[in-house]
Amino acid sequence: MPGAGYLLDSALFIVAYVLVDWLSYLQPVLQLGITPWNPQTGLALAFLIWQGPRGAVAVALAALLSEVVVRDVPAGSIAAIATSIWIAIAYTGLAAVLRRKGSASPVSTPADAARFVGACLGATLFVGAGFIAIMFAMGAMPGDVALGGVARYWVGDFNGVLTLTPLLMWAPSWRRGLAALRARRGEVLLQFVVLGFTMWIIFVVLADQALRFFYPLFVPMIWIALRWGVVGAVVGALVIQVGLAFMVKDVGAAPPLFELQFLMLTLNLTALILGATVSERLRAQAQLRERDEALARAMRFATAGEMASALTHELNQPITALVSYLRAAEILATPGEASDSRLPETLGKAASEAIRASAVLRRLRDFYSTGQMARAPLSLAALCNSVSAAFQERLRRAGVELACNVSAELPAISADPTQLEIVLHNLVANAIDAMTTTDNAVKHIEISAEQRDGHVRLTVADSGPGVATDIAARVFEPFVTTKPGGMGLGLAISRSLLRAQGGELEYREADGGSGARFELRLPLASEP
Amino acid sequence: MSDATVFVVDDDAAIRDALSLLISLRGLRTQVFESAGHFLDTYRSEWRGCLLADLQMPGMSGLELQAELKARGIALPVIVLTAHGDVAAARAALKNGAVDFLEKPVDDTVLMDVLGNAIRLDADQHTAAHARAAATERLGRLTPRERDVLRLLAQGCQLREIAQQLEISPRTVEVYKARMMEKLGCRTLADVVRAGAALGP
Repeated sequence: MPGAGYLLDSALFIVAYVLVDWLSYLQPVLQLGITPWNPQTGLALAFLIWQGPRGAVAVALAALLSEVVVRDVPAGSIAAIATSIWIAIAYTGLAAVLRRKGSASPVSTPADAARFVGACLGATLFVGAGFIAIMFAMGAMPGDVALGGVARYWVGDFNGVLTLTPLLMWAPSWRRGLAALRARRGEVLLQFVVLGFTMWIIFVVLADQALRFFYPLFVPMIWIALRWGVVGAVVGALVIQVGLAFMVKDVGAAPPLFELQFLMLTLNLTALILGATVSERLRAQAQLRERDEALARAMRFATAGEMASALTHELNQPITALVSYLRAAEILATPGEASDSRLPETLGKAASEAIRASAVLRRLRDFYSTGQMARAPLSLAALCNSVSAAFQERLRRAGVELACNVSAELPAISADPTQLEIVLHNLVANAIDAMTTTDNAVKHIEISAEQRDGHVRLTVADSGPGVATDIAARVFEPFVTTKPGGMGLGLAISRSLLRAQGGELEYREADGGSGARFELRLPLASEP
Repeated sequence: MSDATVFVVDDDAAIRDALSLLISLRGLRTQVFESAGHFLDTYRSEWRGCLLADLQMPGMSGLELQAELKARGIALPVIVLTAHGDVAAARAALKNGAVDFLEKPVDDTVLMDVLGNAIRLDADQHTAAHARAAATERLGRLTPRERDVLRLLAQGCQLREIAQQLEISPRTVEVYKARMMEKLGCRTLADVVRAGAALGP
């Protein structure tokens, strides 16, 4: 049983239908309800898509009421009843087809738009033919105008459906649309002004030219479509159409009906297809942006995971020593044992290990506090010396020599000191790792720098095996690694850190002989 | 077991020092090495005890050291220390015959238990190896005839059957048997059967 909600919806629909029909009733052919565009048909189709077959009764009633109120039943009551029932049945069928095809969801891709246009094209032609056939059979329309009548009725209905139905299908998400409009208020206003001005020129100033200058209207319409996608495009087409209808009515400029209809049809089709294409592109762009963000998030998590793993190792070393020293001290301090001079020494060593652990944590904090960059003029020589000092122990163990040929005379560069240090650390650590895998007699790393125009080029070169050719091209891609336990993120992160500061990191084959060579381009501090 | 030593191989000087101090205070001798290579260069076959090696070391890792020991036929029990619960590496170490693995930081009770077990295992292995070597050496002193008698006795033959097979008199078999038992230090027939098993078919 239909509830009160349904009855209310139906009543509102009937009122709206009659009102829209009355407003758009101009230039009728033989007073038979054939006008340039029939927005009430678009309204009826949207209502049927929304309500399903049970909306058919309301549509039939609305159509009948319209005949009575707007047109005063020109072809007799039997014809009015017959055409009303015909319209209701035919459009209920179209609505069912659209619902089944999934086109009942708002038109948002070119494929949706094509399906929608195709289905409506066929259905409106069918309805128009039926309508005219009934009128003809009732003797309300002479045979010689019947064929032209079919065409006009068809294009009128088609126009109404193309403009109003998609718009009404989006109506449930009007809040989102309103929010979007409010966010770009200035642009919307400008677009309305341009559209209104163009319409005023064409329909009022040049009214006597009988629509010969209609086509410039496509420009603002396309502009709106490009900025807003399909919804904006259809709204724009609707505004043009309403304006057109009123101006034609008031000014009395009367272009041939068929010409007007086809202008509208072209405009509507362009709006719908172009808008859907733009919508799809906008959506694809949004998805791409989301995917980029998701990738960045994943990178951050991966980096955090790698940091956690490195941190566990780095912290476990001093803690292991610390626990062992403390257990030893416990034994040394056992009462009854002869006082042992090793006790204070052991406790001292334990304290140094605790300090070592805290230094690891400080390094971690420094790493994370680089969330915001602090670019500062920076001396490369000092930075290289600090990196080289940090690696002394590892270099000695691995039997690698590190030469720092960075002149203190070089101009200061502009970079975040901590991040640049991380990058250099990473490159030197990679070089040392690479060299432990070879039996090369010469294990040598060289950091050198020279001034180029506008930047300083810093080079980290090693005498290791170099990067295999198949890897070389992808060496900066995340998750590409040659190390057994490596995550393959070091170089990827290093490059993105440098790029964020206007620098660059590149890999070059070492000229002559083996070895890897990484070049950093760092902007000068004095540059604006 | 008094000469058993814990050989600590770790690239971290502080860990080497701390573990060595703790283990020595708990009554075991220790010797430290800063790398796997250093240990292999210094190793001598009479060393008893066990090896406590870090899994993550530059150059040769703990796992590689373990494989190298296996390749060289060195039976010293290996305990690996892992810095972060690296389950895969620990499993690989155990598969390759590591006695145990310990996660850093390691507490002394667990450490001493594991070290004690490893040293006992080494001692047992050593005793067994020693006994095998002595038996082989004693078997080497037998003449071909005495060896034949031992083999047939171990197969369960009677004196008369042995005499027939070797085409000598039962009396002579008796003499060979007595000399053989004396050389091998066997007192009962059961000892002879065991010694015969060591001889092989």
